[in-house]
This record gives sequence, C-alpha cells and structure tokens, in this order.
Amino acid sequence: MIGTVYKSALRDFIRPGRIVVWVMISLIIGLIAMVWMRLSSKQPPLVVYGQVIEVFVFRVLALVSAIFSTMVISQELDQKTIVYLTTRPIPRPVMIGARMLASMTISALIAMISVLFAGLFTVGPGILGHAGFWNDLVLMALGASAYGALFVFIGLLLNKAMIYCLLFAFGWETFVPNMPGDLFYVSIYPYLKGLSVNPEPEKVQGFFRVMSGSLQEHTVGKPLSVIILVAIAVAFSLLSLYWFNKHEYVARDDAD
Amino acid sequence: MIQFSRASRWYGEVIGLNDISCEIGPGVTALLGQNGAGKSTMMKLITGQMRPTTGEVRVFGETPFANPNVYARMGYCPDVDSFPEHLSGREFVRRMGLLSGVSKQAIKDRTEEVLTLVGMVDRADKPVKGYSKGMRQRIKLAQAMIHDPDFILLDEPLNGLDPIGRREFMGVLQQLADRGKGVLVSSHILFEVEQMTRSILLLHRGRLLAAGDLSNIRALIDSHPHRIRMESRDPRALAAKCAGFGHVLSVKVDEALDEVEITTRKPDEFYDAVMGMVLDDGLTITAMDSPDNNLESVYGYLTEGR
Repeated sequence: MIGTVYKSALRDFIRPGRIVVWVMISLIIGLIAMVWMRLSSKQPPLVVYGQVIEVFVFRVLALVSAIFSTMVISQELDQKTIVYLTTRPIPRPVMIGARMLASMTISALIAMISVLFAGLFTVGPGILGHAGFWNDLVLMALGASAYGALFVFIGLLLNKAMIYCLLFAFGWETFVPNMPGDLFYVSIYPYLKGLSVNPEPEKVQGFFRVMSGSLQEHTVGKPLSVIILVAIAVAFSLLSLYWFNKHEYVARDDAD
Repeated sequence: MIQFSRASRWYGEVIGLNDISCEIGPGVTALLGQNGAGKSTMMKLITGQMRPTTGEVRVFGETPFANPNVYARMGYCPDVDSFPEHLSGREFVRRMGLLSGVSKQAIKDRTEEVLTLVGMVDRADKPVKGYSKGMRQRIKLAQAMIHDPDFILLDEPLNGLDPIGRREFMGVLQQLADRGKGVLVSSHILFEVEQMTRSILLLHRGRLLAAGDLSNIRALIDSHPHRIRMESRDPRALAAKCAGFGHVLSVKVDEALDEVEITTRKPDEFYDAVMGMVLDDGLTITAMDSPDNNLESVYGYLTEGR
C-alpha cells in the first residue's frame, strides 16, 4: 500500500516540464561555479566547490524542499483535489507518509544533481574521488528529510504554506545563522554546514559571508548536527502523520 | 447503510447541518435542497471528510472519519470541478483505482469497464484540462465506481450535463441501484430528482424538512392552490375554457403578454385537461409553466404554512 502511494506520488511530482526546470537550475549552479572558479583563481578548486555548496546548493536544497513539500498536501488543498486522496481506503498516516517520502526523494535527487554539476564545473571528474563530494550527497538526503518534514508540517498548519516555506528557506535560513547569540540553533543551515567536510576558504567577505552564515563564529559539532537533523526529520514527520490523521482536510474554499 | 443520529455540524458560529436523524439504505436516494441547504456538508460527514460537531454519523456501522474500511466500500463523486488537469481521464481513473485497492492485474480491465459505463471509453486519452463539463462529470463518476463500492455518493452530478448526458447518467444510476448498490444523489432541482428516484431527503437551511417517498412531497405541492401559467395566441378563449373547470379557483388574463394564469386545487386534473383543450377545442398553447411546481414552494408550504 505504501509502495502504491509512493509510486503514484512520484509520478505526480515528476513531470517532464518540472524536471527540465530543475535540471536547468542545477546547470546554472554549475555555470556559476565555473565563473566563480575563474574569478577566484587563487583558490584551490575544492575550496571553490565547497563555497558553491554552502552558498548556492544548500539554498537550492531548501528551495526544492519547499516546493515539493507543499505538493504533498498543501497544494492538493489549494487545488481542491485533496478529496481524491482523503476518500481512498488508505490510512491517512500511510497516505501522507508515502507522499512525504516521495517529495523528500525528489528534493534530495535534484539537490544531488546540483552537487554533481558544482563538482564537475569546479574540480572536474576528479570530484568523484573527493570524500567531501560523497559526504555532500548524504547531506542532501539528510537536509531534504529535515526541510521536507518541517515544510510538510507547515503545509498542514497554514494556508498558502509555500509563502511561509520560501520565507523560511531564504529569509530565516539566511539571517538567523548570522545573528549573534544562540539563535542560530533554531535554523537548519548551521547543522548542514556543520557536517560539511569540504576545505574552508581562508577569508570570505561581503555577500558570500552573509550567504554562508559566516558573520558570526558559530560552529556546531558533527555529532550534534546529525542528531538535530535526524531529530527534526523524525519529529516533524511523526507530527505530520498524527496531525493529518486527526484533523479535517477539505478544499480551502469549503473550509472557509 | 448510513445512519445519522442527531448530527449537527457548525462552521464557527454558522450552522451547516442542524440535528439531523435519518437512515439511508440501498437503492437511489435523493438529497434535495437549495444551495446552502447543507447537502454538501451532509455528504462530507458521510464521506468522513468532516466530523459532526454533535451527534453521530455511522456508515456500514462505523464512524466514517478517516476510516479506510468505510472508503473501501464507498465511492464519492464530489461537487468540486477539480482534477489533476495534466492527467488523461483514463490515467486519472487508473490511479484512483490503484489507490482504492484495485490490483495491478485487474486495473486495466476495470478502468475500461467503468469508462465504458460512463460513456468515456473512446475519449479518455486526452488531458482532463481539455474536457467539457459533462466529460469531467463522467470521469468523476468513473473514479467513484472504480473499486466497485457498495455505496456511491454523488454531489450535484448532473450539473453541466446536457439532456442526453443527464438521461445516460440517470441510466447509470439506475443500473447501480438494480445491482443492489446504494446511491445518494444531491440536487437542488425537484424535476431532476423526480426522474431518478421516489426516495428523498429534503434539506432546508441545515434542517431535514422531510424524508421518505417523493409522492408525499408531490401531494403536498398538489394540495395547495397551484398556479399554472400558459401562453396562447387567443388568451381570452383559453381563459374562458379554463374558467369552466370546477377545480379552477381563479383565472387571470394578461392580453399584453398573451398570457393566462390560473389557480387550481387539482393540478393533475388540469394537466390532463390541457391535452383536450389543444386537441379537441383547437386552442393554441405555446408555453406553459408552474411557478409553484418547485422546491421554493415546497419550502414555503413546509416552513411557513403557505
């Protein structure tokens, strides 16, 4: 039953038009990486690769998660097609769980393609021999799970969830890691960054310093990062299963 | 199959359904009421999309909210005209079938079977976004029937269908009823319902005004002075003929509009007499309608004693 819903959701989420757009975005990340490589000729390719991952690919991960997570339930509510899901003989936790898993899978795969292009356009085929590259692929899966679970839950709570998810992905995740004090603990980005094993640049300035959350000297240890990311993914997934099972979900206009 | 026990549903401070108790069994039952009467709320309670605020709703002996056991035996054709527009009708029905538990081996045959039943088998390969309203209604019915449920709920299914489509649709409902299925159809058009079933639930402003055989409602309509309006090329002659019937209480002539309006206590007798006036007396009647032969009048009789 889970498999049927998962496959159905995958087919629903992956449409040729959408995939072309995301591959193009990943390609643009690769091209940006290539230009960056040319502009910072003093920096080793692996350092540039690491910067591209931190500044751009983590943003793509948050963006793609926001978009595909809101397709799980929120978009079905807005398009009034939720009724076709909630009146099927499938337990609601199974329905949302399998759809959530499908959205996380696609988000992770798209982010992984961005990682691959970033690597190929900076380091070249040799990126495949860099341990950090494989670590980044795992990070994309972990990040997609954490962002995905959080955004699905937001979609269950709020109308027009996409707006809030995008605000979180680009606003909260950019500025909170740069704030002084301990507020950075309530964002996801520092934990992803904490698990990155790519070589760090000697000095980052201006726009890239803000985008990489480096205005403050925050560091999060690897064990804590893993624990928090897994905890976010599991906790919000379970909350979503519970919430969807207990609450009414009818088309938005009808609910108003 | 379905029981309501003092079920009410509130939307904040607005009541959608007020203290409803009734039972719905096999065969075709019509849920009749004007827009805003609570028909869709009742459908959503039965299909477990919503819970009653007070009271209880049971379907096949179970509470329907988020209950897969109930959905396995129930098909729902919603009133919303929304689809995954990029899918073809065939693919949509097929996916709904798989999600409804139809096996991969059986899904192809079953999809073709229901598409044939709703008259869409040759037209189901185009994307839904290009479908007419009638085609969309048929696809919605097909997805509701794909898992061969025991009970099917159809929320305003005849909206947007042309007369031929309506007749075919009613034929499908009758076939389902003949196979022992339960069918609940909502509508706000009395005439439409009369062609589908004799068993009705009449809702008005969230309350169940009447339940049972449609003839009771029809008798109620007929027991009140009934206005019938006719257009004729010779309204005076028509009026004179009508005035001769003992059951006709009043006759009004509007020569400017070539119109005659009568009131009668025996509308059936009058309708029988119309044939004679045209064929035997050579009177011409170009149009005829009854302002009292509608739901609005029924609500008036039942709620205000008019």
